[in-house]
Formats: sequence, structure tokens, C-alpha cells
Amino acid sequence: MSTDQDKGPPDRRAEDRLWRFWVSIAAGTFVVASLLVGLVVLPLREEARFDPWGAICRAIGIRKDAPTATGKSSDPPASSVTWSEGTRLGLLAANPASGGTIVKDTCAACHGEAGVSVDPQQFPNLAGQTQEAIFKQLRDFQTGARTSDIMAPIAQALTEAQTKDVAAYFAAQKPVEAVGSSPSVSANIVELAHIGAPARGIPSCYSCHGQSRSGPEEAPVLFGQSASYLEDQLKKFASAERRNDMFARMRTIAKQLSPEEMHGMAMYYGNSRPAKP
Amino acid sequence: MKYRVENLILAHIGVSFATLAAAAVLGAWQMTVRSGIDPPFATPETYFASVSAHGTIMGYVMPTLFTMGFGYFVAVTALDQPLPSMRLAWAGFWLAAVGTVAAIVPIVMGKATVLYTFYPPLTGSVFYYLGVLLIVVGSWAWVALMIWAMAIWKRDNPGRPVPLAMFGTVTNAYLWLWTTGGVAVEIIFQLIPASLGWTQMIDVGLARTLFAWTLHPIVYFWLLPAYIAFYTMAPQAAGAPLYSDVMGRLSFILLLLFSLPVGMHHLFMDPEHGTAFKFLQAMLTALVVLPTLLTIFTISASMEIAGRLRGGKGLFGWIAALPWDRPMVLATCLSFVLLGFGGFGGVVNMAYGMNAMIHNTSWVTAHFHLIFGGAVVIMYYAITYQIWPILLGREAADVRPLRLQLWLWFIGIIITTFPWHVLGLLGQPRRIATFDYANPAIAPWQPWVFVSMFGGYLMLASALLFVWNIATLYRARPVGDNRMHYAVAVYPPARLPNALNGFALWNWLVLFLMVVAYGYPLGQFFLMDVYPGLVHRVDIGS
Repeated sequence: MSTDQDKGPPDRRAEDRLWRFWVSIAAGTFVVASLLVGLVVLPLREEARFDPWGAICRAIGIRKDAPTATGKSSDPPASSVTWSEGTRLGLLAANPASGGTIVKDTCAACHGEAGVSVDPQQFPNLAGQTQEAIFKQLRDFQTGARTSDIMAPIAQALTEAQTKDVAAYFAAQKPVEAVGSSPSVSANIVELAHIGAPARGIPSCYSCHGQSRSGPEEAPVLFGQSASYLEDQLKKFASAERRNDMFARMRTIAKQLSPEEMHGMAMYYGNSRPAKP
Repeated sequence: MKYRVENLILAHIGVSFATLAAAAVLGAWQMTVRSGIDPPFATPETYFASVSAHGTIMGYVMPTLFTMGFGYFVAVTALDQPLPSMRLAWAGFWLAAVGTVAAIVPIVMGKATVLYTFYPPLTGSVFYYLGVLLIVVGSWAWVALMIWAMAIWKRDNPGRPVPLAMFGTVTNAYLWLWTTGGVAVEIIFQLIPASLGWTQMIDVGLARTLFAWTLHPIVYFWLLPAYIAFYTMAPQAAGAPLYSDVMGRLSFILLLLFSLPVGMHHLFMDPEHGTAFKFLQAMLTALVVLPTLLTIFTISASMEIAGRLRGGKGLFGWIAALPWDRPMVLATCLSFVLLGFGGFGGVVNMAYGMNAMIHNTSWVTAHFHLIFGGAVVIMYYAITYQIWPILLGREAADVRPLRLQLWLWFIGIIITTFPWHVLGLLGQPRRIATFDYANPAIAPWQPWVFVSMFGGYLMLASALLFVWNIATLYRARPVGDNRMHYAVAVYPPARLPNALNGFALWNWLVLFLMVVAYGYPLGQFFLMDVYPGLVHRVDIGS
């Protein structure tokens, strides 16, 4: 079957070397280029500041300040509110009318009788805010999960049923029209709101705070608040001074934002009009 | 046949298709459950047990035994020499057969309802994992025999090119050896200890990574027999030489290289890995279009030669001139169509961004049914229609039922999987037993599921017709000459560089790519503090 003429010429070894050489070059180039892009270029593009080492670390999943990096969950629970069947049924059964009575006596001085704040930079507008969001914050003021010298004693004076009634009342009020003119917000802020920054682990703001309300129950409506109030809250989440966000969601997001981004986000939400649903 | 391997091959392929028929029945029943019709025995427990059995058979048993049987066929016919060890081959078969029984029985008893992906912390009966492991070990006997047979042939035929069919088969043997590494480690070191109660915690991130190592190349292991048939059987059946032998070798090698370091595209949405290595593996995944396009070009060129030799004229006239009555030619064309659609879906899956859209939806199940159940299994049928008569020394008198069966399968898989893709885009999750279509949010899904179910029954009818077609062969008329003829290239290579006639270079390259692609992603589990999951045992009864 086999004859000598089939055997390779004497330069077969040289031929093998040539294959090895070019295959190594091709594979090596491809791998190095892919790693360069995946490990450095793409993560760096997503960083708020120029930090190549931080970008590489994050690209392989060892960011030092990542919430899972410590391995300990020493933090106390962020909030005692759970979205159980009982909570939901209670919210459904709430009575906005009796909530209105309480609001006139206790809340109106700061938040306004119709939920339009007398000083939006200090006190948020509550008109048209969701019932779940108001209820959760009131409960957190009661339990101390959220601290405030003003709100804590006021909230603690209410029963759980009353907090639900108050929340139902404010939720039923006509939302505040956004104030002021619409200043130009930079494109990357708009993108952060609509798309987020996936590589930094920042979901879009809209995914929870959007019109569809597809996020967690307690996620509040942001449009119609004052920009300085929103910026203040973002800063408090970033520094963990405020820590009643479940699963540290907002703390995780806020601490990745640069001060300019926080300001931009606050301006974006504070001064824009909500789109017509 | 010359070397008395008929029974060995018939045993492998026979068991393979016997299990396929059973799994096809389960598949049709599962589609019925999902449609909202309440068929007999429909509970979530039986549904997931059925899915586990269907997946275990279609993923581990059917293609493995088919590929083994087909590999033995190629080894004796293409090399024209006996198998190095019949004893080892039969040992491999029996290991796999016992493994099949050991894996299926616990599922039927409801003690291994973990689906064929067996993602921990789900754990089932230890016999299930041992069964799957036995199938893998049995197939390693086949790997050894294929490598051994080629080594013997090269020793006896120094300097001559290994026949292309055997080169493809040995590519698949090496591919399978690399592929099984991940899942074997997962079963031996994680799942079996957990299922025996030796460990209470299991590192689910590590388990998923090891499984991803296996989960992608296993698909190429299923696919390669189809590619071998494209290159070495389809042109012959069409009556033409193969356009290029070297293209075939390059395609096989590229499939080996770019099927392995890519499995992390199954983990794009997983939190246990950073983005860097996901990106690298996505890039490597993209390269798999190279062998696919090479193959489509080469086989289309071969078919054009055949069509023109048969008098086809003009730009497309050669297509009509092809011998469409021959099952292998028909199946190759149908398979290419399915491969085309499936390939487009695959590009969506491997794209980091688009993957987020379809992750864990019905899109994914539809995709792998289209590619594997469609493009690949239809070639298994065609291969069987070609080699079973040779093994029996008989010839089917009428090929019309064969063509009907192939058409039924083709139409069935399209009707099954196209609406299934749509359901995925609509957001239907996978791995869900029952849907309440009274809920207005998902009510619009139901018509799509109905259409999909109808396709499932067409496929079941086709599978049963296939069994019937094979059974009637036993009463067909005997033929005198039952030798196998493979397609020879237009210019058969007289001599090839070692790189295209062996695997040393390519195995080193696979090792390099695997170390780069999986070194850190696997190493991190041992370097960093990890958070294992509590073992959750599904066999509560024991």
C-alpha cells in the first residue's frame, strides 16, 4: 500500500516549525488582543475616572469595595418592612379619608395639605408618590431604620394602620408639576438614567424608578422632587449615612457615582417633567 | 462486511435510536403539558422528571452511542483495517448501556429530578450521577480505540494522508476527551460527594463553571458526525467528488479549537465571573463561524459540481439537477437550512448584550432544539439510512418513506422551534412546568405554544416512522456488494503537512487556550473566599 514516494520530503521538520510558528502567532495575537479589550479597554471606558488598575480588578471580579468582597453580612437589616401578603392587603384596605385628617393635623405644616411641600429642598413633595414608598419610609422612621430628628417622633406617634392611611392619602393627590426650566443635562447622565452602566454594575434608574414601576415595591417616583433634595439623598446613600435601602441597592449604586454624576442625576430628575404615560 | 463489526455498530446505533424513540414520546408529552392542556399524569413532579429523562437521553445517551457506533463504522471502512480491540469496544458499550439504565431508573423513580444540566445545589440519587459517569467512561473506551486505530494506520501507511472521514472521527474523539473533563470533575468531586451526604455545602459557581466547560463543546461532539457526513458522504451521494479535502481538515480542526474555550458564554448572566473572561470567551465563540462558513462553501461547491455533472446549467440550474430523491442529498440540504436559522439564533446568544434579552427564556431551549434536534439529528437519520443497509447487506426497495420521514422531521422541527423562539422573546421562562394562561399577562403565549406542540407531534410521528423504516429493512432484499464508498476530493492530497494529518499541534493549542480561558475563572474559586450553597436534595423519600 505505502510506497517510498509517498513519504515526505526531507524538509518536513522545517514545515512543521513553520506551522507551529504561524499558529502560535495567530492564536497569541487573538488572545492578547481580546484580553486587552476585555480586561482593560472596555472596563476603562466605563470608569468614572481614569483608574486602569481598578478597571482590571473589576473586570476579573475582585473589586475591593464590592459588597460581597468582605464576606461578612455584619450590617443590620436595612428595613423591617416586608412585602408580604399582609402588608399588601393592609395597603389595599387603607382609608385615604382618615389619612387626610391626620395629614391636616400633623404633616401639612411641612409637606403641604395636598402633598406639595412648603420647602421642597428640605421636605420632599409627597403628592402622587406611591403608597408603598411613603408607607415604607414612615415605617423606617418608626423603627429607626431611617433616622431623622424631625420625622422619627412624628412617625412614631402613628399606628401601623394610620401610616397606611396617610400613605394612601398622599398617593391619591395630584402630582407636582416639575419646577423650573429644563436645564441641559449631559448625554452621559441621560444614558445613565435610561441604560445605566452595566460594566460598573449600575442598572438604569428607569429600571426601578420608571413609569412602568417594574422595580421593587418601595422604589419612589423621583420626578417632581427638588434637585438639591435628591442630590442630598444620593450623597447620604453613597456615604452610608442613609441605609434603609433593602439589599443595599441604592448604597451600592450611589457609591459608584462621581459627585458630578450625582449632581447631574439630581438635576435630571429634579427639573424634568415626567413623560406622559 | 469484511471485519465482523456489524453487531457492535448495530448495538450502539440500535440502543441510541431506541432511547431516542422513548425520549421523543416524552418530548411530545412535555409540549402538551406546557400548552395548558392537562394530559394524563401531568404534575410538576412528573413534568420535571420527564424533562430530566428527555435531556439525559438526548444529551448523554443517544448522541454518544450514535457517535461511537458511527466512529467504529468509519474506522473499519475508511481505514480498511480491523478495530484494534473488539473486547475494549464491547466493554465500552456495556459500560455505557449499564450507565444508561443506572441513570434512567432513578429518574423514573422520581429521585433524580435535577434536569440533565444537574445544576447544584439540586442533587439527586447517587445512581443517577454514577450512571452518567459510566456512560462517559464507556465513551472513553471509544476515544482510545479511535486514536489507537489511527496510530496503527499511520504506522502502516507512513506519509500518507489519513482518510478524511477518519481524520474527522479522531478530531471528535479528542474533542470529546477534552469536553468530558469539566463534567467528570464536577460529578466526581462535587455531585457524588454531595448526593452521598458527605458534604453539606457545594460551590455552585464552581459547579456551573465546570459544567459550562462541557456544555458547549458537547454540542460540537454531537455535531461532528453530521459534518463528517457533509464532507465524506453527501458529495458521494450526489455523485460528485468533494471540492476540497484540506477545507474539511481545517474545518474539523477549527471546530476542535473553538468549541472548547468558549463555554462561559453560557454564564454571561452569572455573577461569579467578571466581565474580562466572559468577553474573551465571547470573542473565541465568534470564531466558530469560520469552520461553519468553510463547510457551507465547500459542500455547496461540491454539490454544484454534482449538479453540473448531471447536466444542470445556468446560475442556479445545477440545484434542480441534483439527485433530490437520495436521502443523504435531501438531508444535507435540509440540515443546512436548519443550521442557517440556528446559526443566526446562536449569534444572538453569544453576543454579550443580546444574551441578556433571551437568557433563561424559551429562546434558548428553542435554539438548541433547532441546532441539535434539527440540523444534527436529521443527519444522524441520513447517516443511518446509508450505513444500516450496508451493515445488514440489504437495501431498501423504496426510498419514499425515507424521504417522507426526513421531510416530516424538517417541517416538525421548524413548526416546533420557530414559535418557541418567539415565546422566548415574549419572555416565557424556560424550566417551568405549567403556565396559567388564564392570567391575561401571559394569555397571548398560548396560541404559540399550541403551534409548537403540533410540531412536536410531527417530530414524534417522524421518529416512529424512522424506527419503522429501519425495521422494514430487515425484510428488504439482500444485495451483493455492500462496500462503503466515501467521497474523494477533486484533487486528493498526495501528501499533507503533519499539522493537517495529526493532532499534536492542535492539542497543545487547545491546552493553551483552555488555560487562558479557564485558568483564572476556575482558579479564583480556590484563591478567593467563596460562598457555597447548601446542598438541596431532591430525593426526599430516601
